[in-house]
Amino acid sequence: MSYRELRNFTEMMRALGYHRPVSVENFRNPNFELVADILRWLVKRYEPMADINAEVGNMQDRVVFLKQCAQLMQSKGRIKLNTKRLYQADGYAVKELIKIANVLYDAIKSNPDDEDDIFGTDNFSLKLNDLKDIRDLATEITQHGAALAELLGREEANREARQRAISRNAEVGDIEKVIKQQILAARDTMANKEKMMEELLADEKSLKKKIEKKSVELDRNEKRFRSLQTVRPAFMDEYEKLEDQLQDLFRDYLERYRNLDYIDNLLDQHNKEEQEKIDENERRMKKMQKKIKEEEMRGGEGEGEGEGEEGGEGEGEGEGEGEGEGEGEGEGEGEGEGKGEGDGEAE
Amino acid sequence: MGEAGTGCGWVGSELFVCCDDKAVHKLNAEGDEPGVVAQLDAYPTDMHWFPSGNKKQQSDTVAISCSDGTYLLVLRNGRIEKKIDAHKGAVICIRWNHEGTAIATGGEDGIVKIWSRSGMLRSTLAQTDVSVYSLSWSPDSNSICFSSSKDLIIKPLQPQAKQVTWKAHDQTVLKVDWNSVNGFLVSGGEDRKYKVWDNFGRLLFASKPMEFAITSVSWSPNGELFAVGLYNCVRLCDKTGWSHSRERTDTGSIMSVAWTSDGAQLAGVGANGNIIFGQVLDRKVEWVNIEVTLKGTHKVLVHDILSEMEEDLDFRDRVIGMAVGFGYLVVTTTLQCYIYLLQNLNTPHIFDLKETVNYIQLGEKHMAMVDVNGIQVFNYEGRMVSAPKFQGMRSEVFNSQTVSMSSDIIAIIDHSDTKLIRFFDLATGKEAGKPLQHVLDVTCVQMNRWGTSAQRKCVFQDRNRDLYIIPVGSTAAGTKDVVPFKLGTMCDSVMWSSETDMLAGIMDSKLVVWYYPNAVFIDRDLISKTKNIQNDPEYGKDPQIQQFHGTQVVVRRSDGTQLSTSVSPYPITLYGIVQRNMWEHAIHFCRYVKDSTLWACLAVMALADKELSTAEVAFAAIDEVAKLEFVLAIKDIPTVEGRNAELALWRRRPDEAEAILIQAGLTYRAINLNMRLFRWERALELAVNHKTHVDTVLAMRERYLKGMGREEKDSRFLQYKEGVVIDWEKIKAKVAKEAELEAARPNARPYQE
Repeated sequence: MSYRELRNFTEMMRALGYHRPVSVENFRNPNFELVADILRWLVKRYEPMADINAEVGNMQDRVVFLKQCAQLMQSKGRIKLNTKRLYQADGYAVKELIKIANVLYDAIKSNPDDEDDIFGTDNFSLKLNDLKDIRDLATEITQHGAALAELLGREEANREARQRAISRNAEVGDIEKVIKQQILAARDTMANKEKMMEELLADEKSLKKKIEKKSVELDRNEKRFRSLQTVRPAFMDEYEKLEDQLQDLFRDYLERYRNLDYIDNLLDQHNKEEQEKIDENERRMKKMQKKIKEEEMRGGEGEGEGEGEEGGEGEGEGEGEGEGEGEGEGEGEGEGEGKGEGDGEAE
Repeated sequence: MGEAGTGCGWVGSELFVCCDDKAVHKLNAEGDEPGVVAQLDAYPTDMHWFPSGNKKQQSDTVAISCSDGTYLLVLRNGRIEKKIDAHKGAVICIRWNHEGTAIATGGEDGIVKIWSRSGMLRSTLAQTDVSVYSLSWSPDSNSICFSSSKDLIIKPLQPQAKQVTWKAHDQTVLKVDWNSVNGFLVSGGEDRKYKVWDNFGRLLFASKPMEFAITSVSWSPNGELFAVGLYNCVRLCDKTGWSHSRERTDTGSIMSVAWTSDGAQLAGVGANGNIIFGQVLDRKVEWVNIEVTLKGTHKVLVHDILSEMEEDLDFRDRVIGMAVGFGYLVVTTTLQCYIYLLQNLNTPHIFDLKETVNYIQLGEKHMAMVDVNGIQVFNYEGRMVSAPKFQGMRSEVFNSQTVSMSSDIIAIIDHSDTKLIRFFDLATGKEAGKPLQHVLDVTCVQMNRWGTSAQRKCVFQDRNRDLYIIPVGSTAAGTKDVVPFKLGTMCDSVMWSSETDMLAGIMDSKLVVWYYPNAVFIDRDLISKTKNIQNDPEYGKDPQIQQFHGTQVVVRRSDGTQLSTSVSPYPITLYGIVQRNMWEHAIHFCRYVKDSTLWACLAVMALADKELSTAEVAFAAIDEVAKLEFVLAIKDIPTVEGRNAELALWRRRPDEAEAILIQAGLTYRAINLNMRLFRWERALELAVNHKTHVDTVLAMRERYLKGMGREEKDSRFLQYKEGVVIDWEKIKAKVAKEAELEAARPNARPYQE
C-alpha cells in the first residue's frame, strides 16, 4: 500500500471516468463494497458482455464474485489477479485493481481521440463556448428527425411500387440494352441541346452587338443634345431686349386702359346723374303744369301759393343737415338756400 | 513525456520536471526538452529547488522526495549529492524554507520532519496517524502548515508554542501553499474545492465544487495570483479567490504547478506526462486616463481614454513588469527597463537590468525597483540614485503594502521584525532618523507625497487593523519621541491622494476622507471635523483602494469589482488657494461653500501657517469659541517669539515653546508658561537659574496649594521659601513691568493682518 500506487490509481479512475471520485484515503481501511464496485465496473469496461453475479452480501457470495472476476480477466485479458489480496480490500487490493486499470488507461493514452466515444458521461464536462455549438446541433437533430418522419409518412404510397420493383426479375442483358438505349437517347438530347445552346450564343452575340451600337448612338445623341443646350442663339439678346420693351409697353397699355375704364365709369355716373336730374325736372314740370292747369281751371289766385310751397321745401332740407353737424348750421342753411336757388334756376 | 509528472520547478528560464520514469528532465521555456538530467533509483514524488539566488548565482540544489522513503539532494548537473532515509513509506512532500537553511519533509507515515540543509535530522515536528500530503513554510520560516486528513495544521518550530488546527475541507486535503508576501494560505482537497485562508486560519474564500479533486495549488511569488490544477484543467485565480481564467488542458490531473520567480510564467505537469506552460496576459494597470494592458508576451497596449488614442509597444524580450503613474510608464522585460514619458511614447529611456525586476513603485521624481538583490531607487532618466539596505533584508516580500515612497523618503516595513518601520533618504540611501517601533505587527505603510519635506508623514496599519499617523523626517526631528496618533480602527485600506494631502481610507466598510490629516500635529481636536464619511456603496469584505487621484477614489472589492467614488472638489481648490497664500480669497471661498468641514480645514491650515486673522474667522465659523478666544489672546501678544511659543503650545509641544522663549530671552514668559502648565519644578528651576521671579513662582505655588487645600511637600520649594518674603504688591508690580518691558522690546511688533 504505497502512496504512489494509490495516487496513480485515483488518477486512472478519474481518467477512465469512474462514476464517483476515488479518494487516496479510501483504501486505508478495508472497504469491500468499494473494491467490489470498482472491480465490477472495471470488468464491465473490459468486457461489457460479462455476466457477473452482483451479490456480495455474505462471504460466500464475495468469494464467488472474486473468482468469477479473476477467471474472466484471466481468460479474456490474460491478467492474473490475486483474489486473496482483493478480498482484503485494502491497499493491496489496489495493487490488483491497478493491473486492470493500467491496461484500460494505456489504451486511452495511446488513443486519446476516441476518448469521448469510450467515456461515460461522467467526465463529459461542458465549456461555456460549446453551448452554442450544442444548441446548433440540437436544432439540426430535430430538423433531421422531421425530415425522416416525413419520408416515413410517404412510405405507405411508395411501398407498392418498391415491392413491385423488388419483385420483378430483371435480366442483365435486358437491363444493359435498356441502359444503352437510354444512353443513346441521352446523347441525342445532349447534342440537340448543345446545338441550341450554340445558336443561342450566336443570338446573344448579335444582340449584344446591336445593343452596343444603339448605346453608342445614344451616347452621341446625348452629347450633341448637351452641346446644343449650352449654345446661346445670336438673336437672344435682341429677343430679351424686345421682351423688356414689350413688357413696358404692356404696362403702359394696362395703365391707360385702366384709366380709360375709370373715366368711362365716371362719365357713365355723370350721365346717369344728369339723366336723373332731367327726369326729376320733367316730373316737376309735369306736376307744375298739372297744378297750373288746375289753377287755371279754378281761377286766377293760385300763383302766390305755389311760390310759398317752394320756399318751405328749401328750409326743411337746411334744417336736416344742421341737426347732424351742430356747428355748421349757418353753412347748412346757406347750402340749403343755395340748393333752393339752384332748384330755382333749374326751374 | 511518457510517464506521469509528479513535480516541477523553475531555475531561471529552465524548467526541471521529475517523472514517474524515475528521471529528472530539463526543459526550456519554449517546451523543448534538452534532455534527462538525472536518473534516480526510486520513483520521485515531489521536488523543490533551493530558494533561488540571483541570476549569476542560481540555486543549484534540488531536493527530491522519493516513494521509497528517502529524499535526495541533487545538483543542477544531475549529480546526486546525498540520499537520506527519511520516512517509513513514501516521502510525499518536501520544501526548503525561505532562507534555504532547512528542509521539511512529510511522509506517508504521517510524520513531519525538519532537516538541516546538509541533510541532518533536526527535529520531528509532528506525528499524525494519516499521511501528510502537503506542507508549506510560513513567511517568516518559523512555522509549517501541513495537511492532515481533512485538517490543516500550523505548527510552530518552537516546541512550546501552540499549534493551530482547523478543519479545512470536507475530504482529504491534498495541497496547501503559503505565500510569503501576503501571508495567505491556499488549500485544495478531494472535496473539489479550493479555499483561501489568512495566516490565522480564518477563511477568506471558498470556491464552489469543481469537477474533480484539486491536485495542485501554487501562489505566484508576488502573492497577487494563484494557480489551481485539477483533472484536465488549470485555473488562474486572484488572491481573493475568484478566478481570472480557466484553461482546459489535455494533461490528466495537474500534479504540480510552478511559477517563475518574476511571476509572469507558470508551468504545470500532468499525470499523463504532458507539461503545460502558461503566461499571465491581460494584466492591466491604470492611471488617471491611461490604461496599460499586457497584450502578448512581447506587446503592451497603451490606451488613452480621453483622447481615444491607442498605441502598441513591442518589445524584444518578454515583458515582466509594468507600472504607470506621475506621467510615466515603466516597463521591464527580462533584460531591460524602458521608461516612457506618457506624452511621448516614441523615445523611451532604456537601460539594462542586472536582475529580473519583481516589483516597481513609481514616485514623483523617482521610481523604486525590487529585484533579488534588494531595492534600488532610480530617477526617470534611468540613473540609479541609491539602494537602501538594512540587516536581514529579503527582497521578495516587498510590495505596495510594505514599501512606500515619497519624493525624499522611502518607508519600508522590516520583515524580520514587522513591528519596525524603517525610513531611508532617497538621495543617499541612508537611514533617515530612527526606525519606528510599534507595539504590534505593521501590515501596511503609506507615505504622503504632497508638500515639502516639512510636511512629510506616514500612515500605517497594524495587525489589529488600527490606522496610525506619524510625522517623518525633519518634521519629527524637533521632538524627542513621536507617538503615533490613532486615526481610526477597522481599517481595510488606506491611500494618500496623489495631488493633495488628503487621505482616503476604508474604515468599517465606509469610505473616510481626511481633508487635512496634518491637523493631527496642529490641533487634534479638529481631526474629526476635517474628515468626511461616505457610507453609501457596498464595499463588502476586504476592499482595497486602488487609486486616489483628484476627486476620484477607485476601490476594488474582494470580488474584483471596481467602484469609483468621488470626493468633494472643494478641499482641492482650498489647497490650491492656500498654497498661493491667498488667505482672503480662501475665506471668501469658504463663505461661498458654507461647509463646516471646509472651515475646519481652513482653520487648521491657517494655524499651521500662523495666519491668525484667517484662523479667527474660521474658528468663528465653526463655533469654536474657546479656540477663537485663544487666537485673539495670541494676537494680543506683542512679540513674534511669544506668539510662536503659544502656537507651539497649541501643537502640544511645551518643550519647543519653552525653548523658543528662552532663546528669545523672554524668561518671565517661559516661567509663566511652565506655571500655567503646572510644571512647578521646571518654573522654579528657570527662575533660580536666571535669578529672577523666584518669589513670583513661590507665591503662585502657594496660592495654588492653598486653593487645592494641600501642604507644600517639595523639598526644593521649602528650601527657597525660607529666604523669601512674599509680597503680592511687589510681585504684581514686577509682572506689570515685565509686560511693559516686553512691549518695549526693539523687535516687538503687534500682530499685523
